[in-house]
Amino acid sequence: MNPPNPQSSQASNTEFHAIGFQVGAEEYGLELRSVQEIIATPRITRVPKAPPYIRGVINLHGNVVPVLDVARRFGLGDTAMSSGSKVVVVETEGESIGLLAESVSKVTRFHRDQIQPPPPLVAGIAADFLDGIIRSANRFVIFLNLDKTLEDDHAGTHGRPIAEA
Amino acid sequence: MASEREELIRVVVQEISDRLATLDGLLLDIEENPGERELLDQFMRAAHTLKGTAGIAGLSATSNLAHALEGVVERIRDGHLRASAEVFDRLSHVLEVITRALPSIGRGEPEPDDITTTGQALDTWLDEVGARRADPNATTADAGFVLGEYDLLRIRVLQRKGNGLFRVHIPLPSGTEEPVGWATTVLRVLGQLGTVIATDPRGAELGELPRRHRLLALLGSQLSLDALSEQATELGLSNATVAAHEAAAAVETDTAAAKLPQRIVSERTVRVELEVLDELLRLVGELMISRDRYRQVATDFTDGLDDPALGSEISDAAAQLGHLSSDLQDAIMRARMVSVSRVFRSLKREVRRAARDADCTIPFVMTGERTELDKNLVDRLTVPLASFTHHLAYAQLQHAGAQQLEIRVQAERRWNQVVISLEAERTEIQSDAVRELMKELAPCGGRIETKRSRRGDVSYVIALPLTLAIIQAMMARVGEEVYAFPIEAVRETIQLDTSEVAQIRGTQVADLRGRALSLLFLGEFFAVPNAQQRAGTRILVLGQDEAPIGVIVDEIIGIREVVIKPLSSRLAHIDAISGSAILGDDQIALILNADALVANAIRSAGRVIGAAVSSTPTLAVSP
Repeated sequence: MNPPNPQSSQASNTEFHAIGFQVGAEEYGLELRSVQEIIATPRITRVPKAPPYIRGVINLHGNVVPVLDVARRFGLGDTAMSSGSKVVVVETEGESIGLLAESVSKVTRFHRDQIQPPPPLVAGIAADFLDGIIRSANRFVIFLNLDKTLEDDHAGTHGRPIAEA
Repeated sequence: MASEREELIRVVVQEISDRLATLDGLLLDIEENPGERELLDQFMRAAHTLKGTAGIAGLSATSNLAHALEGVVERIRDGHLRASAEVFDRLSHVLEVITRALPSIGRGEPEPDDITTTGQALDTWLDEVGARRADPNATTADAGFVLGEYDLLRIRVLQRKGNGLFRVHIPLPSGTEEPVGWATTVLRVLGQLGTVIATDPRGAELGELPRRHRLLALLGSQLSLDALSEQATELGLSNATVAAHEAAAAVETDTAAAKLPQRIVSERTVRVELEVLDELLRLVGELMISRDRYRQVATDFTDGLDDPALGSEISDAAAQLGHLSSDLQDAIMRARMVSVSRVFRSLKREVRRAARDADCTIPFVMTGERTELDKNLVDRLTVPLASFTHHLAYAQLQHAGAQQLEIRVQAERRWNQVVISLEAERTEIQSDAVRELMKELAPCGGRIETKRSRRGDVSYVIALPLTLAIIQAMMARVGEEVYAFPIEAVRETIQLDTSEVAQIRGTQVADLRGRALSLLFLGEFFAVPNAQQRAGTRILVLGQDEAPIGVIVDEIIGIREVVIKPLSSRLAHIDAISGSAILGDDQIALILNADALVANAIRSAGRVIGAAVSSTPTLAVSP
């Protein structure tokens, strides 16, 4: 279920709500209004020949939704799967996609002016893929540019010969 | 809840879409029989309705374009414009422009600019070719006769009194010096036979007679057609030709004219939003998933029961539920079926266009136009099929030269499939075009096969599922993964024995009734963890006669009906997988695209399978 979120639209000029999800040592932030729902990781069906960062597909209330591994996407290893891991379902370009998360942190209210432009490389991710970062005393949150992150660069898998002996 | 405006737009867009389909069909018919007046009248009526419908929703550009459409055909009918190929191209272009705009209009967006520009272009062109402009205020419901409200009333009164309506055509004798006087005399004679309702040219324009060379009169009379002709001759109008005036609906007022034919037909049908049917079909799909789960649970449960009577009652109930949901699915699918005639018409247009470009004719033979197919499939496949036919027609022309070789298309229903075959005499199409069409078909569960006869004729056999949403599939397990093979792609399943496997030029092949069958280890191909792939298991045979392949899986589970769930567009580039399905136990099975599998397998057979062969007699391949 989409959490009720009455404030976000009113105060969106200066404030916004975001959730954070952890992958490896990093915390990634997602603006709450782009999040459809957060679920415990269900059974993931592997999709052969898919790009490696698509971990597979899940059955989300009768719809088949792909699950993306952010760590793999940026060549930072694998997102570890445990009983606490979650799938954060976001909607972009009219399609749902799940992001695999090792854990999810609480909803936090941020101010727009807290967002800083990303340096050229953050935690191994090129600035192209980022909307910005938020640095505070005890937190460092990376805001991904979802569209860019999800953009297909499947040239590697697409053009590759079928046989992978 | 949709707003009133959205509701109106949706209804209007549906109505326009129906009307466009009618116009499209009529256009082709007219192209074939340009002289047939009734067709032109029908076209004008449909265009007129389109104009009105668009107007209701404030779609003024569309309304104007429909008006222009009506105007063009009116000019053809009245002989001011020759029904040339160019005219048909322009008209069909107009229909295309409106069709293209419908989705965005349906979303509530403003009418796209090209509707306006197309309308303007059409007007400009009409001016250039000098076709006479009709009086926009006149009721153009009939042939040259300009009928006012009063005339229509008179017609109704006359009809009620048992008068028939006739069209009398009297040529102006050459060298007539006083045409108006001549006309007056003629009309006086006609007055003895019945009531003259209208003339063309009109009374005030009788001076135009020398230019028109004839007088047309609309006559109400109680005489029969024969009697009328006879008496006209007797009264000195020997050159007059009398015809029954058939377009009864045309003499109604505008709105009545549009509604009359439908009122009679529609009593047995109810219009249902396609979305409602989509939703019903989706629900049936869910129901079938639940049914499968229930069946499974029932089987497991009854297996552990000591009471055989209770066990059989439970399995009876499960079977009953199964039958009911299948029937329900059937009924809903039937509600979504439309005939393939619309598809055929656009194929015909492509053939016609190709023939015209080459200045020759290609006979186009259609059979089975009444075969029905899911509406969504028809919508999705009309354009790709037309483009395929376009290629076929051009290939035919290049090959045939001056000979007249025909193209045949046939549709028929075979069990749970619709098979459309396209056949061109002694012509083969480039494989690019086949691949292109294959790509469009695969996501819908359709496939195309090329068949060659001894004579050298080639036919393209396109098999489509009856519906997009539910297919029958052969389910197979590899490791812990389950895959679905659309049933129409599976030729057979066979048992493989190690001794029947040989290696030819690095490819493992099995002997299939004396024929070499290339083998594809699905576990290897898909890098499935823990696949067994041992000999002695069953093989699914896919592919065409000439090049079958055998797909080796761990286990064949059986045939299931599965509900197709589209895969995300982010996975659309994987050509071996065409979709997914949710099974009774909530697991996801990927649906395979057999054609891509065969193509890939054949392409890479040598490398994959050759490299995997060990010297041991088993077929075990470690992933």
